[in-house]
Amino acid sequence: MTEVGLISMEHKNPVERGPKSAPGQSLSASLKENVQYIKDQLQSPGDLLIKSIMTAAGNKAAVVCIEGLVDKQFQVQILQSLLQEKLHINEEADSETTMSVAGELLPIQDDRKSNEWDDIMLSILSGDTAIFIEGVKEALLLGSKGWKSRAIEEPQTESIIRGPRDGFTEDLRTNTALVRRRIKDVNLRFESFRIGRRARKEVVLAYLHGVVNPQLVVEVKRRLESIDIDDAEGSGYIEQWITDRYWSPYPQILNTERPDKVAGAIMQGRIALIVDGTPFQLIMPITLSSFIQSPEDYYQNWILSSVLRLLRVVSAFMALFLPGIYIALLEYHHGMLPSKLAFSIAGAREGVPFPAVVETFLMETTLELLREAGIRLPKPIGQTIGVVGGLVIGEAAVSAGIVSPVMVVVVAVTAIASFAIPAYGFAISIRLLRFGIMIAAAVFGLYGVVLALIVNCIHLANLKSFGMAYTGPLAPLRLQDWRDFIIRVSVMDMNDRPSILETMDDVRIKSDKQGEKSK
Amino acid sequence: MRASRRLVAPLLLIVCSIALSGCWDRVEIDQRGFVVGVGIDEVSKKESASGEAAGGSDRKSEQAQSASVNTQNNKRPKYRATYQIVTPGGMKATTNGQTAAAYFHMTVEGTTLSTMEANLAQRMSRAPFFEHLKLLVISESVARRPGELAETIDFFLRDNQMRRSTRVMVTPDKAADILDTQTPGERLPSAYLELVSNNVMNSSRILPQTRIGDVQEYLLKNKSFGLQMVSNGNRAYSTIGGTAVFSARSNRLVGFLDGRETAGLNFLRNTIKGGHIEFPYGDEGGHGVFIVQRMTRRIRVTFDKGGLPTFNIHIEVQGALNEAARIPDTLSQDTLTRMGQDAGKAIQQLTEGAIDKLQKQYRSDVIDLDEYLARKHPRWWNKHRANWEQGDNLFSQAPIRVRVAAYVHRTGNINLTEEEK
Amino acid sequence: MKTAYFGERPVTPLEMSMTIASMLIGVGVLTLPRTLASATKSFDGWMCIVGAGIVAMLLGVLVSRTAIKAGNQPFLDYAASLISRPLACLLALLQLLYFMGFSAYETRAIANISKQYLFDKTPVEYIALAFFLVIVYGVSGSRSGLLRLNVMFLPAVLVVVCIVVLFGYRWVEFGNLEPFFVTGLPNLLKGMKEVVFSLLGFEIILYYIMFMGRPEKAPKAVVGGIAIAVAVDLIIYQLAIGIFSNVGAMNIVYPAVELAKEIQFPGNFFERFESLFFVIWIMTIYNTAVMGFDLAGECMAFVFKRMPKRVCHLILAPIAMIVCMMPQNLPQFNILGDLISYLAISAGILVPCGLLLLNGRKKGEGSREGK
Repeated sequence: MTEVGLISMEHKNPVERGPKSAPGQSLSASLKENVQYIKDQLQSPGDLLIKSIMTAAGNKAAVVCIEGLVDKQFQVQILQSLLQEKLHINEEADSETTMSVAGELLPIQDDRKSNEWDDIMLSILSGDTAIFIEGVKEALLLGSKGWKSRAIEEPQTESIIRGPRDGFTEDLRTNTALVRRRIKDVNLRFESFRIGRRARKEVVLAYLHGVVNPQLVVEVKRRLESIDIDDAEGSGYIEQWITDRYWSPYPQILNTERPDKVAGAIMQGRIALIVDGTPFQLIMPITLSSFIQSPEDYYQNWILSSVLRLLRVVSAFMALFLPGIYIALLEYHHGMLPSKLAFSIAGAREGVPFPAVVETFLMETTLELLREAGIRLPKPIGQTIGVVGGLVIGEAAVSAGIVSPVMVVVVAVTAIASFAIPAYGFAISIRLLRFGIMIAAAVFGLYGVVLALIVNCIHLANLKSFGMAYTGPLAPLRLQDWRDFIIRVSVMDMNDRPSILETMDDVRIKSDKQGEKSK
Repeated sequence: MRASRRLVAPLLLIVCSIALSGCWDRVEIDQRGFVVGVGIDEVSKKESASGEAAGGSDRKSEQAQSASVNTQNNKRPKYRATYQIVTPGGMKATTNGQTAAAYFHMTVEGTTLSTMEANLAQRMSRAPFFEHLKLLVISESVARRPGELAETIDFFLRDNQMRRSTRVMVTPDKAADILDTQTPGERLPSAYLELVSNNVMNSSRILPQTRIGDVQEYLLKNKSFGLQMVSNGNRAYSTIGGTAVFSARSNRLVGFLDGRETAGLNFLRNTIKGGHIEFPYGDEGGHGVFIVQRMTRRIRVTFDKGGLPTFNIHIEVQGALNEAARIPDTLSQDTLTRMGQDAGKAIQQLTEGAIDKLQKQYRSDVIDLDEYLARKHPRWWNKHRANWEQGDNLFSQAPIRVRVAAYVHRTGNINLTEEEK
Repeated sequence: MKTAYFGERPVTPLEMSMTIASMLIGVGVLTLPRTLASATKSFDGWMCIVGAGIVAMLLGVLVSRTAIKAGNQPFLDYAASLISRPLACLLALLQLLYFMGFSAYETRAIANISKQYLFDKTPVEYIALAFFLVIVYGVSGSRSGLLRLNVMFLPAVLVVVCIVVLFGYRWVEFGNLEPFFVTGLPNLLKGMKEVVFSLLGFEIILYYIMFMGRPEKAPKAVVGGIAIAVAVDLIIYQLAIGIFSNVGAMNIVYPAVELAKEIQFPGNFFERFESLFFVIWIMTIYNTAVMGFDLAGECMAFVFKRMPKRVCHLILAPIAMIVCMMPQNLPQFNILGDLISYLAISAGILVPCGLLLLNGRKKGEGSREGK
């Protein structure tokens, strides 16, 4: 028999952490014992299907799978193949041979053998089918995963105007396929990890070998292996565990629903982490520039994109500082407003009972409440509440004399500015920091705002994302990275990968020789 | 170690929150009394006496006391300042159609402007706030006091809230009246006056804006200068035009130049930005009006044997014709040249009138000739600067010759209005 | 296979220039037009500035040569190897005084100016305290983070200076700049002394050269940084004289801030520009102060070998605060400034140059002995 050497990803033993469910235990030869062991381990749940069959060769076998995780078609094929005459086996062939023949002849692409209970249980719980044959101390594991998952649809949190509209789903295979379709380089490496003692979720580390800095890969792997937790639900847990400074409001790992973003990051020399069970995948390392970039920038005209990025930077500043500056100017530095504005604001505030500080905090908190509420409301009502909340409540508050109209304008502009930031994680941290700046402004006026800005910048300057300075091409100054920082030069001029990533292969386009370029 | 660290952080927070109890400078914006204009008048003896007598019964003793204190210190009030304060309620966009008064006046008498501000704080519910001060109007009587101009404006330069761009004007009338000018279109008289003083583009009779920072510079350089003059025709409007001439000798007001002389002064100082010059044309009594658009000025100095400089000022003016009466065929080259000559002569008359008055009557160099000498001939200047306006009065003796060349470039939409006779 | 080291990339010469420029652009620029206008007549201060810039550049090259000779060791260790350790400790103490005093001086200056232009009743102590707290927070992070902070803030400062230039030019009366060359030499030298004092600060290259990837480029970086600072000084000085004239600038306490007050955007959109100017300027003064404090901590850690950095900072901060609050008025503040400048020249420049000579002599002796 020829060796059918199919290398699939599943064949490599995933790196695991944590105690195994049944360390070192291996199968016994008795089929009954094995089946009983499975039943005991899982306490015979209703979705555990164990079918005892007699193979065509006359061996007793049991086919174990979990209903709901397996594709019914596969089951039928497996059973059919086992039961049919197609297995031309010698009638006296022993179980071992039967097993190996079965493994080779079953029309399932993904098969392997194992004799460790831990491995087998994991496989069964992952959706594989296990075939036990009487007298064989091995089980045949066939990949038969098939469950209902969400169709590929447009990511809801990151929609763009021009560009691909497929987004990640909760299924790992679909996600890795989405990435593979975009990068057909043989150097694209996927390494699997299992995270979580009890949940045993699979996580795939994706990078481009020969481009990415090897030290980065080593570091990421080290951090992944250090995760010691029961269940890493979603990518958020993993992100918080492996991030450099978990107490910082700024995310040091980017999460995204878009496969084109992931593919782009991998091509730049970053590492992507594709997590099972969530459509949000992780990209690391990142810098500040990741938060003002949207993949749409690359699909549109470069002048337009540069201007829009500039707008996003401005909106980030506004979202952060506008309420603080409003408080500072209206409480402390009245001379700094233009005269007409000062008089009209003073006139408008005549009847308002609260000082500007209290008013600002009140309105900002109300807006945050509205936002939180808006997320949880069902779709048709959610939209109207947003509009109603904003306009009507603001209008009513103004005519009741609780807040001044200028305040409503400021709060509305701030809210809109914070929506203009493409990365949701960054927008949230800005929302949080805005309150800090407001407090600083309330205590010390413009001086307090400046000091808060400086504190913020110090924090950013000290922040590192996997060893890479967070403030990206701004500091340390990498002028060649500025081609894609705020201004995006035309596609023809984007020669190199971001130098801050210290990739092994810098040249992106028009390279005469592929591969390493020595500096 | 851990426990103490855990204690330290909240302790620090509590300590730092003490700072929050301060917020010393937090003042609500509607608690500020915005002072937009200040008028400084002299205290007339009649008014001060009546002020003292007008006190109420329970206040009589206080006033008598304060009066006695005053006379003890021999301090009679020197200034009577009128502060124009904005009422914010009247300034906001009126949706109801009501027009509340946008401002009110407070009058304080005192000896130093800083203490007068403190007096103001005794009467106003809102602390006076000067950062939006637009205008300072000084009446003639105060400006004429010898050597006291610097004293008067010191407060407005030194105080932290002040800006160097506050306008300064002089008025022959009472400053309080000027500040009360209520034009129907404008809500704040100070803003109105500030806007009018910017109209240098449209009138040649307005001196360029004089800021208090500039006044300080002039006083430091010991130079004669001119300030905008504002006079009150009636309550509905004020007129800005003319110059208040301050002499370097005594740092006080010595006189006024009227509108025409101011126009001449503007031409001499190269500060014309616009303006209409009337000129006679021809023998039949025709006349035209020349709009100035651009001018250049060149000064040449020649020193004669006695060391006396002679100034030759050559002025070139470019402009257009804006109104014509009995001028034939404004499109022909001859007419244009002739109009230019006539306009030039008219301008020259204006400048000569200004020079005459400044040299002979006021003997103050407002034309900036001293600056010119200081820059271009510093050695001569250093030797003779003491004699320029004082001592030998070199300024009054130096001949100043002006030549004006005017060019009419455009004549408007039409040629003639009526048939040529 | 290229083995790239990931993470802390060494500082490029451009970034070092920006650091030096950021250190030099501080409070000095704000008062420089006044001190120069007092010493010189009309616009001749430009000669002082250029002359002082050249002097500073020469000194900077010498000091950076010393820094290069230190090789990979921190500067103080290298000094200890040349002269004995007790003498090096003395040097460290002197430099400690200098850097701490510098930091306190800058903080006090900012507190003074803030009190004058931003606040009215807030006590100066609180303003300085808040500033100091942020300084301590800054030094408790990584040192290369401070260098990154410089690179982040300097462009903003330069942009603000450009705006001041662009919008301020219409107020400049070029006549105020004439006549030229009227000041006598002694006055010029006096003016130059003032400018040199405000250009001191490049001694930080001695300590920060460790971060550079190619230390041999340090002299160029220092020269570049000083050039940027000189350019900014020159621009502000020219604008001040042009707008206020010499006598006017002489009588304004902080001419640069008043300069910003003069700026009016067309259309009166942003009437009060000095708020933006001030905000940006606080940022660059913070850079100066925090670098001074950081180096003071370094010096102290050298003298007291076993003290961890945190403790050093915690001890230095109250002392610096006390020094900061000592001057009661402006003349006393100027005395403090002069004191620190003399300390700077002696401890920061003369001694390292002496070390350079010493090194040269030792090397000479060594090679002679080797023969």
